Amino acid sequence: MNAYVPLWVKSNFSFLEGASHPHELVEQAHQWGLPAIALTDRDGVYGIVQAHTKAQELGIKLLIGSELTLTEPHSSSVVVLAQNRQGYSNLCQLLSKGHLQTHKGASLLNLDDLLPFAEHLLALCTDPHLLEPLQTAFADRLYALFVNHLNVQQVQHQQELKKTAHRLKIPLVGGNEVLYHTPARQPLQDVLTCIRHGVTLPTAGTLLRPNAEHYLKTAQNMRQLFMEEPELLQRTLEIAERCTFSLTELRYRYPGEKLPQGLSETDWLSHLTYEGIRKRYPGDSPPQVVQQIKRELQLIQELDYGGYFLTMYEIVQFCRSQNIFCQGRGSAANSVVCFALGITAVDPIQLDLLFERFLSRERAEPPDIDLDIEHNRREEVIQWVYNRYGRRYAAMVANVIRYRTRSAIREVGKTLGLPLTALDRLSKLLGSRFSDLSDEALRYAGLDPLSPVHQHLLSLSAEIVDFPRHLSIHPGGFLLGHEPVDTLVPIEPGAMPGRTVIQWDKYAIEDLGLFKVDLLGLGALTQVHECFDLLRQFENKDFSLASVPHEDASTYRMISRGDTLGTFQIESRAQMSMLPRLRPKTFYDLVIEVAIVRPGPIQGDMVHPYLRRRDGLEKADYPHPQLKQVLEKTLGVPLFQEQVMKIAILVGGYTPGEADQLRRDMAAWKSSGRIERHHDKLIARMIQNNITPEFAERIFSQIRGFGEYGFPESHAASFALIAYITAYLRCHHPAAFTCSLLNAQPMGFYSPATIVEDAKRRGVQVAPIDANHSQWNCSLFRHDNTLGVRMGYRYIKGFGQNEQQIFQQTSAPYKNLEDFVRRTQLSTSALLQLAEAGAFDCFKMSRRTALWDIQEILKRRGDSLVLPKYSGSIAQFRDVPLEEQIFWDYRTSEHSTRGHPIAKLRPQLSEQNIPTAQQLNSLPDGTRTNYVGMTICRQHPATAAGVTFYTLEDETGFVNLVVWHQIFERYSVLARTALLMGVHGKIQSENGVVHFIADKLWDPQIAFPSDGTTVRSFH
Amino acid sequence: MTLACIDIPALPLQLALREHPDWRLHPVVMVQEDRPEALILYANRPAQKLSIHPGLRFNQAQALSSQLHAAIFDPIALEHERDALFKLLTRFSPGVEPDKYSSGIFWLDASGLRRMYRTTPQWGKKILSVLQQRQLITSVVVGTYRYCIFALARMRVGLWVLENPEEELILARRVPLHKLDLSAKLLQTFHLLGVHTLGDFLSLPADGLRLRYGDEAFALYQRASGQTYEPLEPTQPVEIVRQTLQIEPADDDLTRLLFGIKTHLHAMTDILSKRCEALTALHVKLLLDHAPALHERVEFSKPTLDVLQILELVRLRLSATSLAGPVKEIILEAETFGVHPEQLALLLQGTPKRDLMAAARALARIRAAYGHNSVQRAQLLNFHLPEQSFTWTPTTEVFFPSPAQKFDSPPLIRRFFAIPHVLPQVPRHEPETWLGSWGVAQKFQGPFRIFGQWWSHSSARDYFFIDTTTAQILWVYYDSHKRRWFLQGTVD
Repeated sequence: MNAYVPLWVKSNFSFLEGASHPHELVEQAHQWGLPAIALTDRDGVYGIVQAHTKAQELGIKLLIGSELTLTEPHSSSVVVLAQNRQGYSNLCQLLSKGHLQTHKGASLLNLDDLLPFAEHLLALCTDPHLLEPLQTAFADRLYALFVNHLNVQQVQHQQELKKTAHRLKIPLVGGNEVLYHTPARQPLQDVLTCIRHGVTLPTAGTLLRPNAEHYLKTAQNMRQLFMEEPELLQRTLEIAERCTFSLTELRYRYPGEKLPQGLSETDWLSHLTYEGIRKRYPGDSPPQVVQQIKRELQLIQELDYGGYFLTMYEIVQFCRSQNIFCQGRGSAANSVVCFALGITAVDPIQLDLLFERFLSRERAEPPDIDLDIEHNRREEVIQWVYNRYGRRYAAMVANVIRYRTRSAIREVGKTLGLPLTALDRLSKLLGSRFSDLSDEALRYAGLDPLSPVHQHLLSLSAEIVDFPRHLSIHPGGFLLGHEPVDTLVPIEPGAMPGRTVIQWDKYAIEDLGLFKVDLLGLGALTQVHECFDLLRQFENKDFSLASVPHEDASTYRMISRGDTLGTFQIESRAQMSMLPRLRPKTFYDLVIEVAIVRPGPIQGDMVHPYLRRRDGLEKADYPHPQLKQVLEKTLGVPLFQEQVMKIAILVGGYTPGEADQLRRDMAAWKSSGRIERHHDKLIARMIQNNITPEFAERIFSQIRGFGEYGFPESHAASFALIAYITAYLRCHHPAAFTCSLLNAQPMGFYSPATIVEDAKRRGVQVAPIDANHSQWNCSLFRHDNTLGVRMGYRYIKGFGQNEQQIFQQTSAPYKNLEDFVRRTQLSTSALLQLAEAGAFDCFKMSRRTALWDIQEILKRRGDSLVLPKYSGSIAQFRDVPLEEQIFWDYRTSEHSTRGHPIAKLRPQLSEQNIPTAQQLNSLPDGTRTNYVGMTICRQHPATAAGVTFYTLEDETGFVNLVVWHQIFERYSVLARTALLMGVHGKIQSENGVVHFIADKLWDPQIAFPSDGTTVRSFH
Repeated sequence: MTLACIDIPALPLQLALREHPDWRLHPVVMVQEDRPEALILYANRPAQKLSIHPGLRFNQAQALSSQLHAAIFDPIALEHERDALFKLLTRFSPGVEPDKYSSGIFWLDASGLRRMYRTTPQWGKKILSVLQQRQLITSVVVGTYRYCIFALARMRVGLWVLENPEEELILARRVPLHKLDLSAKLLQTFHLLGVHTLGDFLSLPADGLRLRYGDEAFALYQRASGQTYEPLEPTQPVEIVRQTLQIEPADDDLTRLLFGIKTHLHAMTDILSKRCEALTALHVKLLLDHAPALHERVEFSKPTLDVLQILELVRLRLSATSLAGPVKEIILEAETFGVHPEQLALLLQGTPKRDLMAAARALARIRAAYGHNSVQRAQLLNFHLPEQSFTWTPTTEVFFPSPAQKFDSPPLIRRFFAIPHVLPQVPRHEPETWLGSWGVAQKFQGPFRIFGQWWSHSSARDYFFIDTTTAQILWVYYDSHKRRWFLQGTVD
């Protein structure tokens, strides 16, 4: 006998137990020349797709199973293996049952649970007491698993197992519990055990395995271990033969939709598409559109994807029926069918978008439609999907949470018994001062890199990185099935009530070619929806996503100034800086704007050539006449993924499917280098097509630089549409825009204070929180025929659902403070917050008097008889000066409508010749000056080579501050913490874009309270 | 009455800095416990300059300074220091009262000390200088009103003698409230009301304060306004019960010495019973003629007042000791434990005879004869290596056995040597001679591998059970690191 098959193998998807990745185990088995290997993770099949992919690649057989945790007759476990498709289905259902009858992250089954699902499953049992009860369920599919881990504690147990197996005539099989592919992983397995049990290594004792015998052994090693009974290993081969199931047998069918009688899926989809396109193109549809529809429908029918489109259509219809705004994003916008069905809002024909980016025959992979839904109503849609398809037919996709360097250091360090404060310090240094865990980082954190324990910390933390830690839920991915999903993959309860989640993540879904429906939350849609509602109510204007006036010149003028705070996608500091250079005048310019400020085009050095050509400083050139058609709209510079694909098709001779593969390899090139496979092929073919080698290389380097950060044009177009709508609303309806933006928070880049200040600068009257006028949300009010915004109670810090309910049940006006206190029955802290925020100014009392009086009223709030105010000695309080009121506002509600904190400092600043933001932005290029402003945004993009971008604000506007790495480090405390920052630097002004380059940061030494104001930091 | 307030601000942090003088120039905080989210209790000046203040979490503070050092709050060290400071300050005044709320504050009676120190400032300087020698930064304020001098102590470090009570009141009104250890909530409340100093606070109506902010605020008002009479409550040092027995002429006869001790033990137990205390241990100091003194500590199994039992244990201990010369004086000192009067009655009556108690007494006698650690019991530990699978722990009690597992037949018992015996290498020729007098190995069972502890002293052992021709089962292992065979023990 030459071989054996390891039947009890646990990967690191047996969370915090297994110490090797599934692919490592499969590779090792292949290297040892083993004919097959099983993967039997604890209570799950989380890692089988990874193992299956590797096994397919190497041509080794993979047995699929799991180690099931049992509660009866005592805490134990049994390993089961799927013999065939039915067995796998039973296994998945069994695991689903186990998980759904206990809390998240655990599974519990009793013997009765096993019985209905035991068919087509082989069981391997190490527990002598379980053999007899399991025999009833598994009959001749039960084996007694005899192990030899060279562990003295197991000897008696194993003898007992043998005795019982002989008595019951149950065949014995030999095999060890495999937890890692090489003995070198024993330390890591020990560490994982400690993390799982929450103990340190020196105190773990027998929780740790006594030796390193849980590695994947060669056949020779196993023969030595089972020298006396070689037939036990022979039986592993017999078992492997009995298991014929492979994941390739999974036949996934997308759920069929309810169809009108007599119509096939294709007929119905075709009907809905043509019906939809008639609405999109009233009158005759352009022949190009009709031709494209025919092509798409034919491909959809050929690939049998009709059901998927109908599902998306149904979801969109549900959203419409419930007045929930939604819009498809991503590559779906390349499809006319999606446009006709109302799934997407961008016309792909008009924008000349590439359908193959969405769906191709060569690829034969499921299409990917992502649907954006207004974020505060997404749960309604999710629950509707559960109800529509049923809990067994729909479940959310998992997200595997993995160890990252920081979490690795914390958890490994804890098991090594290192002080938690030191670990915290070290982990914080990573990502700020150091990118990797190194000797230098250890030294900086005060740890001796030569100490053995710190060496262990280094090596084990590096090993554990990327290990799965636990399962979470994907933000919006659903797996739907024609057959119950729990026959494909086990379903578990999610941490969030009402959610169920499968054991696979999106990569596993993609690898198996399953359909995923992505329902994503988008705050901008919530905002737009509310804004439309407000305009209907206050201005009698009825807008929809489609009816917002197109190509509005004043909107584009505003955008071109970079005056876009609060708009979707084009409000970031980088976007604001780009807008005055690009000066969008049409919708397509906006599509480019959305796509160009991305790491892909920036790293691919595409931004500046494009801007130069746009400004007429450089001529657009096309290396091949055919490419003019592709690159003309972006002036010869490829900015979108589709363009790269089209180049490959037109001058590289790629088929659309190959071009899509190029796009995928582009996305993965950093990790796999797969893009290089295209180099020779693409260059050679381009040269054949009379493109100069230099230009061919340039195009290829751009493709390489594009990487995963480039946008598909369709996606940029979908986003640009929402960007345009939000910009239009901001330009023409600033009050409604501000109000809806404030009510949709938290979202976007800016704090409520900045939004309020921006609105005020644009002439919107913003009124403070007021007990007699405010509602829970911010609201509009009419004043002198213009609309103003009244801040809502939702902005009082600490206010939540309780307070929301109270304000929905009681209504203004209130006669006085006592009336308010009695009727609202708010808590003491809530009342004091309101007093501090100045909400009782309407009762003609100072904030301090309100604070004093509330305490007294509260003492007698329970009295049914309202008596006159207690007449004790009168307390006199100093008035709160305006500047302090502003600070109080910030402290209690993170904004102030009464003024900008810096406005009151202005006389002092002016005395020192410090300009306002407005003045600074009009200084000539190269001017050196000082400036003092409030830090409202701090960005440290990974692509910016250590530069930190700040947005400083004062009462007149923003200043774009650039802080180079060495300056940041020199003034690191100030740079990291200062809310009010003084800067000395140089003006850099070009094409209307002004940057202030810092030479020196300083503390203005002006009393400025830090509580209440917040800085948004982005990395 | 003239009072002095000794204020050692942030005493726990000062102690930590005294331990680590190299930290003084760096930002240092004291945290409540060793975890990243621990609350900062104190921060030194360099830390405060970086905006790191008490109340912040340690991980938040780290974001402000990667150089931040943390000391963990140690209540035991603090208590020891307070005891030491108390003893030290009793040298300057008979009336010393440690503050009930603040660990760094002591109150001293400063009246009538002029004869010793000539002037109050000189007295104060002396205190300051002694505390400086202990490397503690201190304020010493001498005045009339307790709360006023406390408030003023918070204003500056060093000595401040206030001769004029009215001036003291005026100065105290200027003290900011945030210096006065008010609860954070109350401080925030007054801050919002624009009440920033003690004077602002005292201008509020007292009745209104009580109605709105409760007893804490009202009590503060009364103390600060001098309406509360707060006499000094000096803590009396605990008096040790001590009996001294002079022996004239010096004697080394144990029986006569014990007879003398017995009389004094009666006197000692009488005093203790009146103080509702019982003996937990007795210190016996023997001053010898022309030889160094001898000190023995006799510990009892339970607190006791039983003179005969005490005497018996003293006898056992002294008979195990050889005297280097005749005894000229015996000093008995009691270590005591406070008991309820009802319990005391039981102790005096004696307790019913029970076997476990008798066993405990027997163990106490052994401990008395051979020292505290002489009685130990094995405690099982869950570790793989045999030598780590148990530990010896001193015990004062015995228990009835309660076997966890019942066996049909007697189980095999592995007995192992305290230190494994080194076995010779297995000879290439005549391997039957390998085990020497243990016999010839007939059958091996194993290996059973223990391989781990890679984080400290890694172990790599293959264990075997060997049946020998002498009908013994040996428990041996091969240590791969040491490349040697060892006999761990035998199996019965």
